[in-house]
Amino acid sequence: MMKVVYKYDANLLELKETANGDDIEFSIILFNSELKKSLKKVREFFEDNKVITDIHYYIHPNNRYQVIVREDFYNEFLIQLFRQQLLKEIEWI
Amino acid sequence: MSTQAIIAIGVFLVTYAFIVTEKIHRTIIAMTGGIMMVLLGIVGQEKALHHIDFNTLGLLTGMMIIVAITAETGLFKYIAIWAAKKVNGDPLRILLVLGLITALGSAFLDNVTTVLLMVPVTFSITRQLRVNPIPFLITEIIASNIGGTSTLIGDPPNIMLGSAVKELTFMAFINNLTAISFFILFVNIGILAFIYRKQLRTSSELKATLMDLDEKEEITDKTLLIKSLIALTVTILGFFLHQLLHIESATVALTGAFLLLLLTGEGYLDKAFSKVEWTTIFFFIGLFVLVSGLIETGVISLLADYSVHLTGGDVASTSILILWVSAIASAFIDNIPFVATMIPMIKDMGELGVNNLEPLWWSLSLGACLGGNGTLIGASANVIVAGLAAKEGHSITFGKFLLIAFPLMILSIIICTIYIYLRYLI
Repeated sequence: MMKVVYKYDANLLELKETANGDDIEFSIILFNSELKKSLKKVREFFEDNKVITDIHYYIHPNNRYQVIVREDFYNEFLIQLFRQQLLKEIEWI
Repeated sequence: MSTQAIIAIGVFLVTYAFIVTEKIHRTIIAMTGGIMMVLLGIVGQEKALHHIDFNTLGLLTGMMIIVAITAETGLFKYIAIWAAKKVNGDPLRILLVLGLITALGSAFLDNVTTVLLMVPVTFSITRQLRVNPIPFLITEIIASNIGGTSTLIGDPPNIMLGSAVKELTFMAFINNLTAISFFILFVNIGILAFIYRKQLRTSSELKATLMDLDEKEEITDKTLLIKSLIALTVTILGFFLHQLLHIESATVALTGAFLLLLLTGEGYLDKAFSKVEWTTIFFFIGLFVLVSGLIETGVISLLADYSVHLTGGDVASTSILILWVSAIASAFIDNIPFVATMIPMIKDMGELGVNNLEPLWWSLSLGACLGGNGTLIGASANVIVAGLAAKEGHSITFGKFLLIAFPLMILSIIICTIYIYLRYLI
C-alpha cells in the first residue's frame, strides 16, 4: 500500500493523525473561524452518502474537531480536505 | 358466495402472499392488486377512489415534509448529544435515554423517520465510547414501535384507525394508549438494560471526551430551526385541538407543513417533496383499493359474521382475540394491510350486534403496533435498522432479534391484556 504524505498551512489549522482501533482519528484545530464552513462541507459530503460509519464527526469547543475515519475512507477524507483547501498538498509515495 | 367475491379473495390472497414474501417491492404489489380489483370489475374506479382514505395520506405527507425540513437543522443530533451528556456519558444510562428519545420521537413522527434520525447519532456516540452499538439499536427498534403506539400519529395503524373511526381522536389516543405504552416502554427498556448491562461499559477517558462535545455546534441553521419549531408547535397543538376545532388530522399536518414551507420559502420545496416517501403513500393507495374489493363483495361482512359467531358476540373474548391475533400476525406480516382489513371487519361487527366497539379498536391498535416488535420483519423500522446495521458491519440476525424481542413482545401483550380487561371489560 502506498504511503500518503500531505501538507497544510500551520497558520490556519493544526491537524494530528493517530490510530484509533482499526480506524484513523484526526484531531483538528482551526485557527481561523472562516474555515469552519470548509470543514462543514467535508462533513456534509460524507453525510450525503449512504454510509453511516465512514466518518464520525465530533465538535468540541474552541474550534476543535475530532474525526474518526474508517480505514477504507481514509483517502477519500484526505481528498475532501484537499478539495475544501484545508490541505495544500497530497502525495502518494 | 358470489363469483366476484371469490375473485376478490383470490386477488387479495395473491397480493398478500407477494407482500409477505417481499420478492417484489410492496408498493408495486399493492398497487397491482388494487388495479386488478378495478380491471376485473370488482370495484368501479369511482368506488375505488371513494375507498382511498385521503386523511391518512394527507397526514403522512404533511408530517414527512415537516420532518424533512426539521432534520436539516441538526436538532435531532443536538438532542441526542445533549441527553448523552446529561447522563455523564454513561453507556447504560445513554441506552435508556436514547430509547426514551426514540419513543418520544416515534410518538410524533413516523417510526422509520425516527430511527433514520437516531441510527447515525447512535453509531457516533457508541463509536466515541467504544461500546457495541447493537444493544442500542435493538432498544431503539423496540422503543420506536412502542412509542409509535402511544399516539394517533405515531404509527400507520393508528393513523388509519383515527381516520376511519370518528370517535378515535388524537386526545382519545392520548387518554387510552399513551400511559400504557410508556409503562410498557419502561418495562422493555429496563429488561434490555439488564440484559446488556455487561456490554455497556467504557473508560473514564472516553466518557470525558464525550462530555467535552459541543452539542450547540450541531445546530447548523438557527433561523431554520426557529421556523421548524414554530411549525412543529403549531402542528402538535393542532393535533391536541383538532376535535375541538372540527378539523381532521390531515388538515393539521398539511397546515403545519405548508406553514413551514411558507416560512422557509420555495428554496426548500423541491427537497422537502423529494423526501416524501411516495412509495409508502402509493402502498396505502393500493391497499385501500385492494381491501375495497373485499368490502364491496361482502367478504369482510362474512368474516365479521364468522368472528362474532366464534366469540358469541362477547366483547371481552372478541377484544382479547383481536389483541392476540393482531400481535402474532403483525410479528410476521406487515401490520398496515392487516389493519386495513380489520377496520371494516370491526365496523361490521358493530352492525352485527357487538355493542361496545371501543375495546376492540384499542386491542387492534395495541396488538398491531406492539406485535411489530416480535420479529425482525415485524415492522418497517426493524427492517431499516437491521439493514443499516448490517451495511455498517454490525449484523442483527433474525434469530438474535427473535430471542430478545419475541419474549418482550409477548410480555407487552400480556400487560395489554390485563390493561384492556381492567379498563374496558369489567
